[in-house]
Amino acid sequence: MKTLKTILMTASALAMTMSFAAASELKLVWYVENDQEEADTRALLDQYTKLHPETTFDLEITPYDGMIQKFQQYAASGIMPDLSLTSSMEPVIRPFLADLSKEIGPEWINDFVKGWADGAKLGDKVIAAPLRVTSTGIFLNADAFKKAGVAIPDQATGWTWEEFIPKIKEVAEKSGTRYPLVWDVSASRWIVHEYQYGNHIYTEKEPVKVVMDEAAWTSTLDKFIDITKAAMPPGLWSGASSDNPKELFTAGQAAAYMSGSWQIAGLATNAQFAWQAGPTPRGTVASSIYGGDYIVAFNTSQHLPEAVEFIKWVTSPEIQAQYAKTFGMIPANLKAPPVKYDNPAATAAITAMQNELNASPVYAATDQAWPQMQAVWGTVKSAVTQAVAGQISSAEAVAQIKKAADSSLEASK
Amino acid sequence: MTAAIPQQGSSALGFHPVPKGRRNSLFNLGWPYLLMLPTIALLVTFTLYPLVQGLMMAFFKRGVVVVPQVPSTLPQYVGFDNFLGLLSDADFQTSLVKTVAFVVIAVPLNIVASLALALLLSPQTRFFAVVRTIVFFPSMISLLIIGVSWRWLFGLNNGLVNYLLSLAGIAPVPWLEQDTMAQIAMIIAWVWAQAGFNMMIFIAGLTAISADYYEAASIDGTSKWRQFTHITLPLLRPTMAVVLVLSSIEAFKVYELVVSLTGGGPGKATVYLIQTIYDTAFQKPMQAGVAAAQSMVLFAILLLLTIVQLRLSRSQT
Repeated sequence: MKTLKTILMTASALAMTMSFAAASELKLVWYVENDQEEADTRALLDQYTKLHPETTFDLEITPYDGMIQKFQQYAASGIMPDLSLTSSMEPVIRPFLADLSKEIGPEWINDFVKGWADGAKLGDKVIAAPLRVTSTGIFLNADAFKKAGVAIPDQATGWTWEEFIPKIKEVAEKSGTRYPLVWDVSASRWIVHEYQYGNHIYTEKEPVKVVMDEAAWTSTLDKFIDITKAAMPPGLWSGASSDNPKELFTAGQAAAYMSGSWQIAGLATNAQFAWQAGPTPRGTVASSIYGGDYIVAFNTSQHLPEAVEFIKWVTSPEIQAQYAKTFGMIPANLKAPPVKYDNPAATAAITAMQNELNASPVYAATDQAWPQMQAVWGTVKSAVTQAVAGQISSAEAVAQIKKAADSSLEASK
Repeated sequence: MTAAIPQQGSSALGFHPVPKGRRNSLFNLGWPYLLMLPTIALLVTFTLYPLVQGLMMAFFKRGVVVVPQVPSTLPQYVGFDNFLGLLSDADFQTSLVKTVAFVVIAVPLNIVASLALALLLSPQTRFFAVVRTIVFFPSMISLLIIGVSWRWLFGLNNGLVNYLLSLAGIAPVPWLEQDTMAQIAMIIAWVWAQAGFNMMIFIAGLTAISADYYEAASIDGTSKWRQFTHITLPLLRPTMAVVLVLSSIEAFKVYELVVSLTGGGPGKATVYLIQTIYDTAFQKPMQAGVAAAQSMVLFAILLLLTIVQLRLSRSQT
């Protein structure tokens, strides 16, 4: 009896120990746009825990703007979370990122949108998993166009900026819409205009070099300044305006809105008029810019296998389709089944923006994927806003951007 | 107020005389220092250590953090290069000039506004107490929230200020869209945010002025204006000096309000010193040493102002 009691106690203690050993709580750093997105993210994690009861999550919501500083703190302390959402793999955290080509397999990354997957590679390593892809492009107030009797061309025909600006001015005038165009005051939204005239900052392949043609960049910036004067709310792009482009378009006060695919879910819910995505005007070429987010696992994690398992699940085709529908995103996984959003306009908009992304030049993906670019975005925005405000010339603004690109390249060596 | 002269056998800190037999015990010798230890620890941890660390950073080319696994983040000693570089750093010099201009304009306006409020609201009645509380309220709000609020108020199309102007038939003013107007908007918001606190200091100063002076002046038939210029202003001078120095220090450090109200724009029209230091450290690679050198320049300015303030406080005493 005593022996049996001892065996039972030992067995139960062992079982408890094993269950503690098997259970793993993954610390996950994430950023969200709003409360709904946080709730959806928590629901997604709960869904995983139901399938894998041994894995739970400690979700830490962090403001997007503070992510770089957060990573710097992690890197300096050497204490990392298990997983994190990120839009770029900062140089300071690169040594701590798990090589997913080893953990999952070298071919796995080929399942993802190429432009965004390229940014996840570091030499032979794959240091991130593409989670969601975004595309920058134009939204049109279709009701205002209809009211003004101005036809919107199909995506194959499209229009140039020179054709587009007079059209939207006509739409605004005839439909009584307050502004012809609003444009997010953002460096990545602006640089698309440069891409559309064949200009980019860095080479498309390694070794990374600065390839800016300053004269061509200056000429394109001049064109942009003309657009701000001709079609946008006064002072919008000088950088201090209290006008919010998204709110103006959603309230029906702008005929066109230059932003990105992440707005689709909000427009589907909030816009009280017919709208559509694209065709985005082109310059000498058509271009969008690859954007989005990755999920990364840290090699310092004590639960690396579980973290990698979660990455495999969340980037699998089925979950990608579910994720894209819930969050109104473009799936990063090319094998994801076609996504039918609840709103037909949203479905059409996602398809249109996906097509525009696929038709973009290689540099629309590589330029922003190089880690050197992370230190240039701030200068891009401040230089352009200064040029629009008339504080410096376009040539000086471009020179500032080139100097920042050169410095960043030098600092990365 | 006069300084007490320590009596023989008592400590300058006001302790009772220690019995002779115990005077040399370690406990009694260390007791005052033990009491001071928490304050000293906080001062060393949060003031002295960052200051020394900042000074050391100014002599290196480095990023914000040092990660041994990332060679590019390892500091390189550059001597005084970071300080010398400031002599040709256009961004730094422009923001320094703008900051000084902001201080020179905003601080006197703030003093005038707070003094006017103090004179208006100093009567000790319940009504004025309520109004004083309302006026003081902005001092208790985060400058970030104040900035966001004024951003809405100054909106070109939907702002309350332009709406009120439109009622008077005045065309919308591009408060945040035009360089000079944005600087004016910054000054208005900052003065509004600071006036309540300084008003309270002035009220304390006004309360300390004996009513006898005013009574005597009234008997002599002196006008209110002359009473103000010949009694109030001269006797408020020490208070005014303190407000001047404290406000100047606050104005040199203006940052949260800028970020939330104008973001430094339009262009770089309202980028002041602290924002330049922040941008240099966090938005430019391997420039944390330069930012530290910029911080040292700001520290020197603030130190100078603090010394002036201490001198003025002593002379007031």
